[in-house]
Order: sequence, then structure tokens, then C-alpha cells
Amino acid sequence: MVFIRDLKREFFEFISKQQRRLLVFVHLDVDSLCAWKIFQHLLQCEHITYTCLPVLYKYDLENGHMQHINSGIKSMIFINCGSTLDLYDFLSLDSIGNDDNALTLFVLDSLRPIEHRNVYDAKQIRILILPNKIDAEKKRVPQYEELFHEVYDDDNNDENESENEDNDDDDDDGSNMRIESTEGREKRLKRQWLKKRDKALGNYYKYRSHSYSSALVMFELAYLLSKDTNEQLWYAIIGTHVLRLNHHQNTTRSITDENNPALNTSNSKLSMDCVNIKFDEDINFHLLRHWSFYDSICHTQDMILAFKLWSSRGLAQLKEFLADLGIPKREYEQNYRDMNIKYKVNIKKQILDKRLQDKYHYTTNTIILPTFLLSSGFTLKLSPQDIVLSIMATLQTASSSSSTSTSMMIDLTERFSLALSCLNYHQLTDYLGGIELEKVYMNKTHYLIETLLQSDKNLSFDNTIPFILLKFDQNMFNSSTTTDHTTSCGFFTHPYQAYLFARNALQTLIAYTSASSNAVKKKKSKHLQRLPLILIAPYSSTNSGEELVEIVVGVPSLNSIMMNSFSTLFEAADRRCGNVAKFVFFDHSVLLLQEQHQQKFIDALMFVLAK
Amino acid sequence: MDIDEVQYLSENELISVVPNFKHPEINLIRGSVGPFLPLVPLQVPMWMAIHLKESHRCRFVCPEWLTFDSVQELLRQEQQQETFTPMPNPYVFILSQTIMNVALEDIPNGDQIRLLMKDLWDLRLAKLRSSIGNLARSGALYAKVTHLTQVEICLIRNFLKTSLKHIAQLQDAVPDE
Repeated sequence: MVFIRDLKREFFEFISKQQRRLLVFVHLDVDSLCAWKIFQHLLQCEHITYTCLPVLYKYDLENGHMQHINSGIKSMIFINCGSTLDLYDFLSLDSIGNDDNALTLFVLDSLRPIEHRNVYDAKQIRILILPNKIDAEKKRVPQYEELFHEVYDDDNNDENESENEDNDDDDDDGSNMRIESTEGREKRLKRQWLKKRDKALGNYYKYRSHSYSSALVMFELAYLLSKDTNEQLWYAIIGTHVLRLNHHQNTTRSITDENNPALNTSNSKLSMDCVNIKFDEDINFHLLRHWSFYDSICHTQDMILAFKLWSSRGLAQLKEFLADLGIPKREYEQNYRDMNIKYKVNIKKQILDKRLQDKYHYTTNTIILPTFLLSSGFTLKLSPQDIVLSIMATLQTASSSSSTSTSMMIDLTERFSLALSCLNYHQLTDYLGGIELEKVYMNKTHYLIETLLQSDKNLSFDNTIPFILLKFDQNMFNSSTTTDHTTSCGFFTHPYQAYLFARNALQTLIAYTSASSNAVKKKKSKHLQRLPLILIAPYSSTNSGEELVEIVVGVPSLNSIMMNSFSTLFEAADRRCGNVAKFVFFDHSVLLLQEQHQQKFIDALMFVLAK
Repeated sequence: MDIDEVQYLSENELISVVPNFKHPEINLIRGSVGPFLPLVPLQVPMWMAIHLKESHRCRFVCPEWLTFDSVQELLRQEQQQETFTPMPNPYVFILSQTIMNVALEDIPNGDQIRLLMKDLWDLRLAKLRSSIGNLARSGALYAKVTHLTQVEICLIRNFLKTSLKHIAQLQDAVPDE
């Protein structure tokens, strides 16, 4: 069975019985890092040797596979990568050919849809999912008969006929069936079947989404092996928070339900030096514990939209709001941790106050969120959102020392180990470093969005184009107002982070135009709400600086934010303009493009979207 | 004997653990350790318990002498008496430290017990020092002390040997009158 039912026996015991080194490919994002940490702990407990390879692009997988192909490896594990690829084909497993070198591939990925050929190849590929969701997964993939059934003999006549009942032609043909030659009938049946197959596949692949986090599956495995400790629980919590942060999933209910059996609820007898995880409802402002209260509100996306903080009027209203909360200016401008405790205690209650909510028009369901807090000894209290942001910032910052390497490859192992050490709750230096990076990144994002709102130079919006085009060029950071000229190439380096930026930009843009007093702009905003956004930004340039490689991200319109159909749309556009785009990431809604092909691709995309 | 040797010897004490795996009986030189069944507590030597805990295969059961109440009771008795009180185990201090290092989560009120243990240790050491001082000053040839733990004996052994030897030498050197 391709979907593994019993994680412990079919996966873990299978691996430990093999007594061989294990090859693990880990994608460079927060969820897979958390899953890897849990898995690494399990492997160390059983003394299983492993080789871990961080991957970001598809060819990393290939390279890694080529390098290790002859070292006697019998199992490979893919964490958050590879389920959307046809693995058999991609790694050319047929050509290996040896009978006794039967490689087994285990795929643990939160991206859906899974490539259908991966599901129906029961020989070498196994897919790891949460055991209680196995039926839902099976239902989602189209049936085997729809996709691979190729034999048409008389026995199948009845089946085909009953399936095509709504097809009027068939009824007429029924009487003519005996008169028609068998060859012609077979061809017709095959054509019908192919049409149905294409439709089924098209529906299946239309929307890309994320399902539950990989870290949760790994924690489930740890729980089955009775090796679940508070540490592993903490990593699983961080993994699920990633998905919540990216709004890829509405997980507020599911986190609490799935974690309740494993949580030890406020155990006051537990020593202070142990890892203590508490569940509480907490204020969700951006990096609240690392900034002043004021800064943290100014950078929270929801508060920006609610108070319209791009305008000076919005800032004044925010100050009024803070005064209503009862916090003096001196308090909210210093570090949150140094704030007077009597204000901190009242903040949550005040924010929930109905009167303030009505006056300032903000909603509390995204501000006060149920979340977990880790306290261990006398160190800082850690909150998963902050850790997620810190790791994302670390992952996307390219190290400046390795600028002589080839342009497309960014030093993966360094970033990987740095990000992994951010997860360490004993030594917080890397985590705090990541927070600083995140602050810098936030400031830059703000700058970009502000320039975006002030001038329409980067934005293309037209009644004829079926999407909003947001284009940044090399000069996006250079302006007369800033003194530091940061290179724009190092800014968008990670696909998820580019996606988040594009989504925030879209939200801000719509809020801005709808709040504007200009009537023309108001009409524009109604139209804007239905449009998706395409972001094109510089990614990296070759050493000579001539050829610029750009990253293209597609964000669906706000009405249908969960259903991202851009992977198929980009593929279709690419086919039209002659395969200029490079789908190097596992998620096809983000791709790389060379500058000279940009216009061609945009035209092709317009054509595809207009249909 | 060194402190390290005392620690090594202390790891032979039996302690109760709850394993989470299944394994038949293991026959060792000193005796056999009974079949391991998940969620069934059994007695194992300390060294095995540490090894199992570090590979996440068991959970410690807090020994009766290491609960908060019993340690508090011990401390109270020690404070009341001038001489040493009997300790539940000849390796109390070393064992408590080892257990705290390895399995802090399994001991309720762990850090408070640590504080109490430290108080107990300081108290007994103070008593030791004063009694040694009395011994040296009184010039007696022997003294009897009961209820000392191995660690404390080990601590004073070397010191007593050399210091008494010195005193004896000095006494010999003084001309008899």
C-alpha cells in the first residue's frame, strides 16, 4: 500500500531492520526543519546512521541522488519535497536496474496534490501521512481505474456504457454498436476515456494547497514509539504554527484537538529546569516580546489594515487607541519586556473590550489567538510565531561571504545549520540573531509597500489585464529618501517568503484603494478585489551583472485565497511561450525567469488567464 | 577511595523504572534483570536505568526517600539532633544528584528537593567539621561516628589520615616532660 497505515511498523521498523545508512532530503522551510529535528532525535535513539541533504531547488535532489547512488543506500526519505514530482521519472530509478538494490522512497510532504504517479506505484514509493486521515487522502486522488485502465474488451462494455449514460450519443450508438466495427468502437471508447481522464486530472491538479504539517506526522511517529517528550512536542507545535502563519490552513481548532492528549496541563510540580509548555490565549502582535509595543503593532499586518497605518491619520488614530488602552507614551515606546507589569496585565482585557472594538473597527479573532508558550528555567519565554519568523528570516538571508559561488546556488548547508540552531531553546543566540534579521526585513518590506502605495510606478493595473502585476526592478531600494543602498537581489530568496510579501502587498493595496476618498479609486478597489496578483522581482544576477534572473510569484485573489491555481496556470503559460520559465522550486506557483523572457511570459499568462 | 569510585559504586543500587518496550530477562553476572514489559515497573541497577533513560526507553519512578516530604522530614531530624541521623541509603547525595541530572521531569518538585538536599548536605558537613575539630583538640586516640554516608567518609578520609599523622608526629617531637 502506498499510503502507510502503520507508521511504526511499516516505516520506522522497516528502516531500522535494514541496518544501512539512510539518505534524507530536507527542504529548506520551517516545517521541514521541525520535522527533521524530531526525526533526527528518533534516529539517534536507535543509533541509525544517516546523511542529511538540504534542498531548495529540484536539481539539488538530482545531484544528491547522483552523489549517493553507489554508496549502498537502501532507503531515501524526502521531507517536504518531492511529492509533487514524478519521483520514478525524475530520479530515473528504472535505470538502476539491480534487483537487490531495491530502493525504497518515503515521502513526507505537506504540499498537495500529490503526483498521481507517485500514489499508484506501489513498488518503491511510500507516502507518510497522518493515520487517521488516510481515507480522506485516498478519496482525494482520482481512482486508479480512471487513470490507468487501458484495456477495452467486451467485459468492460457494460461499465463504460453505464458511465456514459448521460452521453446522448451513446444511446444512439447502442443500437448501432453491432454494426460498427470493433476497432472503431475501441477508438471511440478510448477517446472518451482519455477525455474523462484529462478532466479528472485537470480537476485534481487545479488547486495547490498545503495540508497538515509534516512535523505533526513525525510527532505522531514519536508518540507511537513512546519517545515523545516535551521537546518533540514543541517542535511539532512550531511546525503547525508555520501553516497557520502562512494562512495555508485554518488550524486554530485542530491544533488544540490534536495536542490535548499529549499536553500536560499546567503541572505546577514540574521542576523549573524542565521544558514547560503552557497553552494560553495570547496577543498576536508581530514579534511582541522583542520590540516595543508600538513598533510591534505598527508591523502587524492586521493592525495595519485595521488602522490604515500608511497614512498619518491612521498613526494618530493608533495613538488614540493606545491612550484608550491606558498605556502612557513612555511605556509603549520602550521594550515590551521592560514595560510596567500593571499595563501588561490589562492589555489583553482591554483589547477585548467591545467598546474599543467598535470605535476602532478591528476584529479580535486574529489578534487574540490561542497559542503555546515555552518556558525553561530563567530564559526568555518562547512563542512559536516568533521562532517561525526568526527561522524564516535566517533561511532567506544569503551569507555575504560566499558571493563568489555560482549565481543560482545559494549556500544551503550553512543556512540550514544556522536555521536548525535557531530551534535550540537552550542557547538563544541564533534565535535572537534571526529576530534581528526579521526586524530588518520588516523595515524593508514596509519601505517597499509604502513606495508602492505612493506611486503607481511599479504597479500595472489595467482593465484589460486579468491580474495585477507588481514589478520590482534593480532599483527598488534606491530612492532619495534612504541613504543606504541595499542590493535588491538578495531580498527575495525564498519562495514562501516571496509569497507572503506578495499576499501582504495585495491586502494592503486593496485596503488602501477601498479606504481612499477618491471615487475613482474606490471603483478600482472593487475590481481589484477579484484579481490575483503576480509579483516579479529580481532574484539574482550572474557574475557579469548582465543577465538578471527574476522570481515570479502568483497570489490568488483575496476572495479565494486558499485555492491557488497558479501552478497549472504558470505551466500552461510556459508551454505557450516556449518553455522559458524555470520551475526550480517544488511548488510550481513560484518560478524563475530570465529578464529577457519576461514580456513573453506575461503575454502568455494574460492569454491563459483570459480564457 | 576517590569520589569517582564512590560514584561508580553507587550506580549499583537498585531503582524502580517503568520501561516502554518489551524484552525478555537479561542475565548479568551479578544477577538477572527480570523481563521488561511496557508500563510494568521493575527494579534495575542504576547504571542500566541511566542508560535506558537516556535512550528514552523508560521512565523513572521516584524512590520513596527522594520525595519532598521525606527529604523535609530528614532535614528536620538532622536539625534537631546533634549527632548524625541515619540516612535511608548509603549513597543518598550522589544518587540524588545523578537522578536529578538524568530524570528531572520524573521527580515532582525537583528543584525544591534539590534545595533541601543542599541544606542537608551543608548541615552534615558542618557537623563533621566541628566533630573533627573536637577530635583534634581533645587529643583522643579514636572517635566513633555513626550514620555517615560514603561520600562524607571519602571526603574526610584523606584529610584525617594526614592530619592525625602530623599531629602524632608533632606530639612525638615535643619532649616529654
